[in-house]
Amino acid sequence: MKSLKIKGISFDDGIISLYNERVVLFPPQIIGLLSSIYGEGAEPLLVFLGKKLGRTMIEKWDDEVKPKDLEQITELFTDIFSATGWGQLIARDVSNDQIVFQLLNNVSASLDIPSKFIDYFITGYIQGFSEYVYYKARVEETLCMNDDDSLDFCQWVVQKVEQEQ
Amino acid sequence: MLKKLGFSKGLKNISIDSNSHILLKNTNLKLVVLRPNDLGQMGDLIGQGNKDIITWIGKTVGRNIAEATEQTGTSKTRKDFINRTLKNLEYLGFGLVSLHSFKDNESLSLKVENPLYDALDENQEIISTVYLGVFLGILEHIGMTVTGMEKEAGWRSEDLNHSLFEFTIVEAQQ
Repeated sequence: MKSLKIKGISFDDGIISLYNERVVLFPPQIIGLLSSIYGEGAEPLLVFLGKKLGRTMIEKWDDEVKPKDLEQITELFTDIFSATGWGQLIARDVSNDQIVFQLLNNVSASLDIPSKFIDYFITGYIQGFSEYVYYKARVEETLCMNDDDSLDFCQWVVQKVEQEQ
Repeated sequence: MLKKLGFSKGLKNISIDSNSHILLKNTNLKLVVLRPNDLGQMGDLIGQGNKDIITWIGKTVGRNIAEATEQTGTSKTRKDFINRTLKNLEYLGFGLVSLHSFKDNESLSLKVENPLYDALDENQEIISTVYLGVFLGILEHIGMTVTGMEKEAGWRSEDLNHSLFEFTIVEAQQ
């Protein structure tokens, strides 16, 4: 067990800032609580909320760290995502039209709430990143460890959507 | 890539385990990084007018944090337990949260300096309701039935930079 260390983070007088943006450490169960209110209707809400977070975060990190290319910005995204408590995100395949993400140790697997709701939020989070790098992108969770006992990861496939001329 | 970028600062009393899960140190309370704005928007989607649900969400979180405080040691008194739990809230980034007054079996008040709503231009009341719920959850966890409200609200007044929550103790289990 190590102390949490993230570049750009500071703590002072009860305020945690990540690259000058205030953040808070919150139990992920809050996602499950939303789902208990809305049921299946929570999916679009969670995707929407995750997308806003993912988009804002990658914009900020891109501005601060200035990665040079798609591979570097994807690595930056997976590093920061992995440092923010959701599990360990790895990019398996990065190209100009597709990225495959695998999430090991998905935090949802260790909670006593329906895990799919956290996955909806993560889908949005990845969508926010994907639309930043591809402008238009389709994100789909193609494999989920919570549905298949033989898996130890969840997988999202991001595909760039070409703009019509 | 982050490692290549050099020095990283640590957060007090917050750990990360080998599975990349963030924990309050020496507890099994798992945590994720969110922005106050995310909490505000979640509350906004539930509905500004639906305070009961937002309070209930806050209460659940408060109970989780109180349970985590229990894992880190024993407290001789309720006051001591409340102080330790408020310190944990500070570590999580909720601001400087302190026990402002405490009269055993009568009343107590809690002060929040640098509240999360400082970071917001809207949905500030929602964050205040979350705080109220968190405090109710903590007090409920230690067997205190209370009624309470936000007596001073920094988000409502430009002259204040804190919130003060006052609670009347209806019943306290021995």
